[in-house]
Amino acid sequence: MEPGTGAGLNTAVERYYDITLDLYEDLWGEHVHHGFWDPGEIPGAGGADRHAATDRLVRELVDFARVPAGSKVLDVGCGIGGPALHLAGGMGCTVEGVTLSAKQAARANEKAQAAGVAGRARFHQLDALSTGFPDASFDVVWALESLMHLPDRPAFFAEAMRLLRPGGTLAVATWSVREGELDAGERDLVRQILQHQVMPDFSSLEEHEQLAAAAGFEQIATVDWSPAVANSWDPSFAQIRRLEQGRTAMRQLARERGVDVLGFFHAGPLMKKGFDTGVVTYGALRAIRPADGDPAVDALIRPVADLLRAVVGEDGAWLDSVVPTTRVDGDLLVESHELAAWSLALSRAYGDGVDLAGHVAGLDIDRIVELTVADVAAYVAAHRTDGAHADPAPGPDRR
Amino acid sequence: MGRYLFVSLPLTGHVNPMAAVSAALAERGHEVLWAGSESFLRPVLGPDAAIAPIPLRAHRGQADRGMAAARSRWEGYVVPHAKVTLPGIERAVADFRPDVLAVDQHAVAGAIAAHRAGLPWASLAPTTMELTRPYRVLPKVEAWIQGRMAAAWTAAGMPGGPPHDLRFSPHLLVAFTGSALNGPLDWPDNAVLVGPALARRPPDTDFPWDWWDPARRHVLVTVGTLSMDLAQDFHARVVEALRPLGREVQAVVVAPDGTVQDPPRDDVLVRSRVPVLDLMPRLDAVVSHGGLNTVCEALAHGVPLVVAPIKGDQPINAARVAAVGAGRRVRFASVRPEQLRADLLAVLNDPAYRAAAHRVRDSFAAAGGAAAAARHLEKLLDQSTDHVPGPLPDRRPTDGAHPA
Repeated sequence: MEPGTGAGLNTAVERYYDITLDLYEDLWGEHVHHGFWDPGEIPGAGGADRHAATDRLVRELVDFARVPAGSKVLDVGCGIGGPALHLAGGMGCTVEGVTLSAKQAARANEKAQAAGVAGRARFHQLDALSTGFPDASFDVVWALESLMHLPDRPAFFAEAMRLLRPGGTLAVATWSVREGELDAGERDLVRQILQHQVMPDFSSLEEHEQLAAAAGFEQIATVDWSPAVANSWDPSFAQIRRLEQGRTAMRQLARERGVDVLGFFHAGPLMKKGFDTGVVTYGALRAIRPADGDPAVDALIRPVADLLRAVVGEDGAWLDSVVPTTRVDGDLLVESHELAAWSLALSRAYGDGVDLAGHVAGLDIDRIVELTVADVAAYVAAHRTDGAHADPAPGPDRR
Repeated sequence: MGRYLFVSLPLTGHVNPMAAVSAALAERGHEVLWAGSESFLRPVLGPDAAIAPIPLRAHRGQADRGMAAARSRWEGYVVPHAKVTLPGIERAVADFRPDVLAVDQHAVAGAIAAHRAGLPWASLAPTTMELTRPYRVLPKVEAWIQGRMAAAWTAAGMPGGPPHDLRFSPHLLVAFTGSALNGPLDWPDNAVLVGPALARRPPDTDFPWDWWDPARRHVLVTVGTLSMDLAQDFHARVVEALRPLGREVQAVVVAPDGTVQDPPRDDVLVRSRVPVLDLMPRLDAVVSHGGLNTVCEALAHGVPLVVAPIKGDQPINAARVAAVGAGRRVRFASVRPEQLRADLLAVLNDPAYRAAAHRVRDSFAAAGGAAAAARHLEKLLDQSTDHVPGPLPDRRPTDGAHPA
């Protein structure tokens, strides 16, 4: 079967995951996606660390995309719910998962029930581009190895933008292809992978970044994880070989389920070759839907940042680089004594009601890590006692 | 004579000072065993050290900076490491029957093992991370860390909660810094500051001493193990800062191959490993990220510093260096080459920095280093000799910020 586009492809993807569900789950467990290893780390023989490695990939994407605990998440291409159960479990997120495969959705719901998180993780057979969820209904749109199946990627980024609340996060991990021209042999390899895996085409990581920007996302970052995930196609990890042993069994499967089930078994060696030659790549992308500004808060961002600039001894270029979503901890590296000095400067400028150090002292560690300049500006706007609630720029940056 | 079990983390900066102490104990006739990864420990401890091997397990990388680094240190490193090493440590306790455990503040499993066996133990502080308690102004962060330690305690099958902060032994705390740098600690009251514990390290026979021009002044640049992009960015600025100084200054930059682009070969030497202790007596300044080992090694030789702190205890150490006048601090993430050059020249040219570094050097020498640490550890033997199984009298800190 040739992969098509639109409805035809969706039907093929649906069918592919319907007929391979048990094969994937039997082999790879609940995580139907790559594993993640440190440089030089070797996969355990016979896939002993399979769950640890695939689980690690989920955690790496959580970290890279900075998915906040307790978020409301749309999981695009949820599979049988492995990542969603991680998000809904320890992280306390609420997850709506969508997949084209009714069997995957049913299996995922069963697993959520068994894990005791059915109240926080629900799975539906829906097309990711027409889910029917209202605008701005999610904090996070999460797509872990599903974007390759979507032929209309610009539409995916536009739909993610619609579904995210302002300030919300898009988290993507996807198969991709090397940027630039491929030669004939490389194109043929890609064509075979696409055919067996029911995918329309691959984009490069750079193209994903451009698509996100074109859709209006900001603070877009990508990371190439090819070396970290390539072990997934190591034969001893993928365990494809074990199934190849029985030609009879393969014929039987093809008779029962249709010949396209065999794509599952062809993937391993092709993907290994793809990674080995650098043609197939793998990466993650994070992007933020720009926040809607509150004018009173927006007006405070620069003067509030300028007070910090004076504390840390930076210059105008530094000030220009500060945006609302700049993190106080991870981006500006504000240390505790600098925080104290900043807090003092803020209370001098905006009145004794502003006690940033006290405010931060009441935050738990996750909130401190996520604290942005916009959060500080919003705190100042809400607590200022200098009687100038709507007056922009009372700080030293008056111009 | 006593039997000492040493427990640390597979981190060079942690093991180096503790190795000097274990060597001092061995010289004084005691029996010492280390529990930990042999592949990591053997090159540091040498061929004769006794090691109860615990396989090294890969843990998640730590975040590079800020509070996120603190969170991932505990979540991704300290706690998982405690969990996987505890069985091996407890086997070593059972087989070796130590009188005393010497435990890295961040090797929580060692503290748990000592509690379970009812043995006296010392906390060793190879960093200043916990000593000045930078999070005491952030009570929820401090409580979160206590929660991580309590989880490790419970996971080890220990009843109830930890009887006190597992980073601080009720019996003894040895810190590898000096009061001339850190000031007297206001807490805990069982802390002894012995100064840096330096041990001979294997000679680096490959170092190209013929490159060294004795007519010029010399700077060592070492910012620890960083992610590639952070290191490249910083080193590029360092090289720009150094470029106009070539006539008068030669610099040795510790960096992996390929992380420094186009250094002027005659003026800047880039090597992934250097014989730090051989270089120190010949140096005029050190540019460092402010890891306690590098800071103390430089000051022990009277060498002033420019410190560009990144995370953990480095901002604390940088602030102390600046406060005692033994160097300057710059912002790692954003300091520009011109500023870096100005600070480096000030440290090289103004004798006040060297004079302050010499004061710290003299106080370190008086503090006694590894030998002093060994003498303090010997005092715990008396407690052990009198000891009957059961919990020791708990000299618990009275500080309210540390829940009992």
